Formats: sequence, C-alpha cells, structure tokens
Amino acid sequence: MELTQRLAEPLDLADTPLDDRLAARARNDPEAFAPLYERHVERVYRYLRARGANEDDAAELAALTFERALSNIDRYRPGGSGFGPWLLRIARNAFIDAGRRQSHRSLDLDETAGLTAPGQSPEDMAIEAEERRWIRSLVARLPEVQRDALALRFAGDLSSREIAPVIGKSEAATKKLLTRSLATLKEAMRNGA
Amino acid sequence: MVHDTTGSDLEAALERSFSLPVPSHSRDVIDRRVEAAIVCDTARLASRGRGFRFPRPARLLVGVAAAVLLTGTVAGGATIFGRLVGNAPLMVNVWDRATEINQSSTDAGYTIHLERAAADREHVWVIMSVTAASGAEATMGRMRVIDANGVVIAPGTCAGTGDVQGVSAVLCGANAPAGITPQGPFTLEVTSVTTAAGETETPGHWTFTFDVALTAPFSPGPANATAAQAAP
Repeated sequence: MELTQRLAEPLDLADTPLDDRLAARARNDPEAFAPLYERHVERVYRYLRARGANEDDAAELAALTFERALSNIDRYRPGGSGFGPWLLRIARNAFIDAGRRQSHRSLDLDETAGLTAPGQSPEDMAIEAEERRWIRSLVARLPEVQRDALALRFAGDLSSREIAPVIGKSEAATKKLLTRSLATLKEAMRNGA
Repeated sequence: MVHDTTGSDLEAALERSFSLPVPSHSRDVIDRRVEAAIVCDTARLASRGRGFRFPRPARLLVGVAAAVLLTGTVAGGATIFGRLVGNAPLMVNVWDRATEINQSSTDAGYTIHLERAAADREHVWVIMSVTAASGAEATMGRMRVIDANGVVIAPGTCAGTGDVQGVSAVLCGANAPAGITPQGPFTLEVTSVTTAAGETETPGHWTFTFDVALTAPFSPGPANATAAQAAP
C-alpha cells in the first residue's frame, strides 16, 4: 500500500502497550484500527448503555465514537492515560452532544432484565434480572456526575486514575466522587429504596 | 437480594448490572460503520497529494462518511477511475470484482456516468463519475439504491476524487437492511449533486437500472476480515 503520510521519526514501540502500538500503526495504516475496535467495542457500548442510551442510540453513538477516534488518531498520544480512557472520553462527548440535540429516552429498566448468562437456572435468572433492575433504578437517582463516574468505573472498566482525565478532575477528587457515589447507593440499599 | 451489602458486594452487583452485551444487530451496525470508516481512511491515505474529508454537511448527503481525495491535476494517462481506486486494496478489490455498467444520464446540466457496480449479500457498490456541462466543480449528492423487491438500500459510505479538471468520481457502498439480501435488478436514483465542499446542492433526477450477480462477501483486507469474524 502506498502511503503518503508517514511519521516524521520512527517510533520505538517495542515496550509500549499493545493499544499504543496499534494506535501508532493506525496513523499510517487504518486497518490497524480494526483490532483496536475489537478490543474496545464492548466497553464503549456498555458505557453508553450505562449512561442511559437505548440499544439503537448506543449502537449509533458507539459507531460515531470509533469513527471520530479513527479520524483523530493522530491526536492520540501514546504513553498518556491510555487508549481506553481516550476512547471513552470521545464516547462521553458524543453522548453529551447527542443529549443536547435530543433528550434520550430513559433506559427501560425491563429492557435489561432478561440479559443473563447461558446455563443459569430460571430462579437465578429471575434473581439476577431483579437485581439489575433494582441497582439501575438506584443509580438512575444519583446526580449526573456520580452516574457518569460509576458508568466509567463499572461499565467502562476504568480505574480512578483513568477516570480523572475523562471527567476533568484530579485523581483524588475522582476517588472521593466514587466513594461518595457508592456510599449513597449503599445507603439507598439499606433503606430498601 | 441482599439489602445490607458490603462495598465489594455492591461493586460486584454494579459490574453485573452494567455488563450488557452488544446485541448482534447492534454489533452489525457498529461493525459496518467502522469498517466503512477504515475503508475511507485507507483510501484517503492511499491517495497522492493532499487529502481531506468532506465537511460534515456534505458527508451527510452521501451517507455516514465520505473521504475525498483531492488530487490537483490528473497525472499523465491516469483515468478518473484509476485515480479514484488508486492503490487502496479495498477499493481495488471492489473495482476488480464489479461489473461494467457504462450508463449515463444527464439532467440539470450535469451528467452522471455509472461505470461499474457490484453487490454481495449485504452491500451494493456503485462507481460513478459526475461532470458539469458548465465545467463547474461537482460531485455526488443524494442517492439511494432500490432493489427488485422495493427495498431501499441506504448509502453507507462514499469515497471520491473530488473535482479533477471538471470531473469527479465516487465509489459508494450502500448497506442492505439487516437480514435482507439485496436482489437485482437494482435502481440507482441520484437526486442531487453538490460542489466538492458541499455548500451548494443542485437537485435533479438521474436514474439507472442495472443488474449484477451477487458475489462472495467483500472481505478484501485484514480489517474487514477481523470485523466479519467477530460479528455474531
């Protein structure tokens, strides 16, 4: 393949994480973006669903996230907070932008009730479905910033350190935010909300 | 259900609650969009000279994304379609497997030439050129493909040359609705052309009827193959 855009200087990527190596390759070879997509599509989709997007909106926004990531791959800096947080930041912005244009349908809590692992007994399935519904209803009552942090942590699978740059807070402030969010949820559970 | 829960119980419950798998139909939508973006970006990089993307309003006219390969002047001997396909393996593959159609239609001062077309179980591909009688800069605007059963196959992604000495060429992939296999003969309806930057849109009616046999799925590169393998 003839390439017209080449890196000014060769990069030594031997010791860099796989994501960073793929992202660096994708600058000149977009096909290297495919494995990055495969590695992160689930977490991006989960995050968008956790934010309240329905199935169709989450698919649309996930696709938009990866399109934007590919077209801005030159702006990704290997060695920073990581490709996953960078991608989820794009997903978060896409979700916020979409929210400005249209109010998202609230997640139908029953929509997720039937999602269970194969091999579960009907009783386990029922219990898990009920738990999902209950937890999500509690999360839905939290302030926006707390919902966002929990979605990044538990759907996006990011650490406090990785969440911090995504939401524009310090790592310490992010830890406090997560702790406060979990404490609020725990209290709500104790009260049987 | 445990109401008096520990921190780790709660965290585990949150993880379970948020671990929503991507449904197969959603995954298919995302796969197609990302695959198309990779094709466009590959084409852009493979072009010679300066490359840029359509501004968003114009991109929306032809679908999700359009990569424009602005090439300046035509290299000696290179046809507009040779310039379009260039060295991008994915586009070369579509071009090589496409059937020659060679139909032209003129309206509103613009001639659209349908050079080749191809179809597999999920896509219909059309390769066209646009020429303005006035010599003005023009490229593809709105279009759609309709199959023999009246199924509208929405344009997904287009990659084009932009204006090259009064003519532009574009390759568009239209995505069949999930679960529907396109069936020929097909009707290609073009209802507008635009300037390359998309700021001016000229309506018109250019219609083509063509039939092509369905080919094996287009999986010409590793990126495409990866996406296809992962799709449920």
